[in-house]
Amino acid sequence: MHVLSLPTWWIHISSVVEWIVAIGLVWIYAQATGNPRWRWLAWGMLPALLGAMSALTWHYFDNDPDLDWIVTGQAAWTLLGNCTLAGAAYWIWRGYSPGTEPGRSPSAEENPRRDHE
Amino acid sequence: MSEIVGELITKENLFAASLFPYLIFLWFLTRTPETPRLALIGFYMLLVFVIITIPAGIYAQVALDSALADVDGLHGGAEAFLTLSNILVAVGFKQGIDRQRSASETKAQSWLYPDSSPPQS
Repeated sequence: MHVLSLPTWWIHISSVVEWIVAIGLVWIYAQATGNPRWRWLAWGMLPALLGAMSALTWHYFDNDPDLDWIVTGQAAWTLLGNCTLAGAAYWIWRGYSPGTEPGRSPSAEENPRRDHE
Repeated sequence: MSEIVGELITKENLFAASLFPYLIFLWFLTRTPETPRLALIGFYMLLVFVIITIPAGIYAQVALDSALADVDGLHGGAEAFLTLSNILVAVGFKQGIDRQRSASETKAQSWLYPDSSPPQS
């Protein structure tokens, strides 16, 4: 694993750690807002993590051209992961009925029509 | 038929195709009032990372006859934008959590002070 310099390794590890932390914070955000639909975003962020792990694996093997299929796998996880992000965002957006004020979470008392997760 | 599919499913095509659902993701997240502002900025910043990899990859190939991942300075430099955007997403949701919690604390305390506003902490 020497094709990447140490600073470049640190940059990669940092971005993966940050993504994992973000997933945890999104999960807590669901609880803080009282809107359980945010949990779908946390789940939706997982395939991207698998893509990141594929990339790191390929870098670990010094970007071996014989392992190029790993990068194709990374691209597939990225495509899937972006679809799950889009689906989650759509689901969260759908949870808002008209009359919800910007910046406030739709609570059950204010929006009785909103279905419960 | 399977040869055509095999020709189409390349890493380049998969990466290119992945951009479209990401734009849809941004569309709905932007229109969700509850999305923390800094987190949204971070998710948009990821597009900067994607856009930067294009000229970086081209330069690596044309000027240095290498893949971007094999040119350490360009590779690390481009990846730094992903690190930046992920930091913004994480901090953004942390801020969002803090704001939601202080807002609900303020609401919870308001019954103690029905005729005036609660003391600010």
